[in-house]
Amino acid sequence: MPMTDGLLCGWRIRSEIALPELLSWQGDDRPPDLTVCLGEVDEHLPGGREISPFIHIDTNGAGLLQVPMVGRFLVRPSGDITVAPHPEASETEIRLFLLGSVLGLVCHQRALLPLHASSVVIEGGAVAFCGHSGMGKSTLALRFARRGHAVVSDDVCVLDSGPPARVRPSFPRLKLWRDAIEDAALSSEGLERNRRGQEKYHFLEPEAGVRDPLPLRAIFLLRRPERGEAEGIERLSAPLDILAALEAETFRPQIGRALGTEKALFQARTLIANSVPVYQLRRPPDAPPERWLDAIAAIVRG
Amino acid sequence: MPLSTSSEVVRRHHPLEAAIGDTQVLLDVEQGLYFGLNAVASSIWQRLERPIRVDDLCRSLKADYAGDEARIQAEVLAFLAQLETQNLIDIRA
Amino acid sequence: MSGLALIASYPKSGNTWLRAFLASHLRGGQPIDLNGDLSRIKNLTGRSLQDKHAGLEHSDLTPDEVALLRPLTSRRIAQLQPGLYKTHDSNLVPLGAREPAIPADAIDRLVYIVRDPRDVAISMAHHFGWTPEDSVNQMADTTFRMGRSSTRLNMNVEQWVSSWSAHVESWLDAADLHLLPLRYEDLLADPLERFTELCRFLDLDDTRHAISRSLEASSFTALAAQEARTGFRERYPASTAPFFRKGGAGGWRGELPPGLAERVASAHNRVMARLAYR
Repeated sequence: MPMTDGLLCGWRIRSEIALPELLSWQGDDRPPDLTVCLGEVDEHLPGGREISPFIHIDTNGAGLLQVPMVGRFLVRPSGDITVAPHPEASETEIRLFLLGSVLGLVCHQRALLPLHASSVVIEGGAVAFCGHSGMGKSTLALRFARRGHAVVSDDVCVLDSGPPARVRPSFPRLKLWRDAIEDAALSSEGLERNRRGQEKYHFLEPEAGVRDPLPLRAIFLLRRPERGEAEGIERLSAPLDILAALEAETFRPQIGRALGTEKALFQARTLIANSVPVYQLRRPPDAPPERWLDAIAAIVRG
Repeated sequence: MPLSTSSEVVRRHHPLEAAIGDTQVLLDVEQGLYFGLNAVASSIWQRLERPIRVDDLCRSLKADYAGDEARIQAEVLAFLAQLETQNLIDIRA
Repeated sequence: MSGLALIASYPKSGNTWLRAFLASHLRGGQPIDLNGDLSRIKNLTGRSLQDKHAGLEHSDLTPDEVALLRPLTSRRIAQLQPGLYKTHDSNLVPLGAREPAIPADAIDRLVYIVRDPRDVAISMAHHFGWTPEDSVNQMADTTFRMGRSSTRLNMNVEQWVSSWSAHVESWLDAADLHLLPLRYEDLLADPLERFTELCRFLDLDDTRHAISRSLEASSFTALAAQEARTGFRERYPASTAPFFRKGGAGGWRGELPPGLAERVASAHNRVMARLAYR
């Protein structure tokens, strides 16, 4: 069946699986950069090395992701992706991994730095929120989205090779737990579940997608205050602190190491360290996000 | 190998390097470690690209940085010892 | 040390007290900060640790997938970040998995703390904000899991805890394990002796002087006073009581209704007899 190609991080993607998260491709008539086909995928990747329990990489740089109840994803460096879904997997579940782990793999294959971050547009640039699961990345992005800011990325925030430091927008979808949705006075009714039976949902801001790369304006590292530290926002100044933080916030760094892209990742991180302010935002993760929105926006405005 | 002014020193790996502000940052990919060098340390590091005797190194530094010879030597030796602990240089007799 | 050195227990059995002691002991007996220093003995089931080593987010997995993944991740942590950890995992194979979450080959040594289940029942009720009856039911449930995210993210990943009896026996009867069993009541009754045994087992400083100092720093009154001042992060949000509440042995006699105490005794009678809980 004919389906329009989608736009993902600047790439033209043609997929046999519908990807309603993505904006449609409106660029030139180049052949697709990425193709997604349904097909058989062997559970063994010949010559593959285990990078993490569910991910193998072979010597040509192809990656195999296997999630027990979702399926297998073979990701070739050419951009050809084959998906063998588990019979019981829902389309949302397949897309969750295709637009998450698989997207991360594609970035590493192309030597681009993927940050584990949610990002939104503030003052014409992308502002990224990084932090462990549960620190409130998506929740902050949601609150900005409700104030009219476009969502640039959710889990995987892809940096262009630069310079300057720019973000390739992924799609305006946020993964949110029911509490976070309700705290924002929204309802989870009608939203797709992240996984079957889970109270985590996919929240789409359909009119709020971004097409073109955006300058990266700032990075906020979401942290819990330790040992009587005060809540607040503080800019990191020591270069090694910044690099260590950016390394810690890299999405699936093991894959980059396995593919030998350290040099490109190092250059991307030093570009950020030299040109983009990196802040620590210390607050208890369950603290109401409202009070931080103005402070963040004010800092970005400068 | 004990370090002295007659030792010859040279970089061991070729770490990735970049300047961030005033700091020269090295990433030793093999060890997965970052190092930050200030201006003086960085000018020593630049001189270690090819094997060099420690006393030659000190002389060349003295030409660039006005300073007491004994002090320069002491600081160079201390810095080289640090680099060796971090597996960044080889010391030859 | 190669592999995981574990402080394992059913919940509310004294694990945090041991961690507090060890946190102080590893710093030469200095007073500890509950919200900072306890992390020296990391929680093995902490979400960010598990996410990091699994190379994906557990919040994107179903409980069955987590059960399949955990043993693989445990082996990676044992290899890449060995050391001292706490856990409430049982040594049982969770429903849908093929091996326990922490397979024996990932374990270097394991301290198992066990506490009178009637005291556990009281402590669990206070901790989770349950009625004592809820606690007693939960402790008999062989499919009891913790770390499940319901409407918000849980900061731990799923752990297969099972019933109190099954938990205790799964560890105490594990073959091929370098194991030190410790009764909570014995730790209270003779701390110096028992903590010396603990330190020896973990290859830590086992001199009397050092141990007394660390015991002092992690004493129940010191911890409870600090919680009152600073709050304590590991407190369960629905909790109705401070985390460091009483810390004694035999408190159930005044607090657990006799009918419930009877139910615990009959549900767990074999394992209780084995541990001399009368």
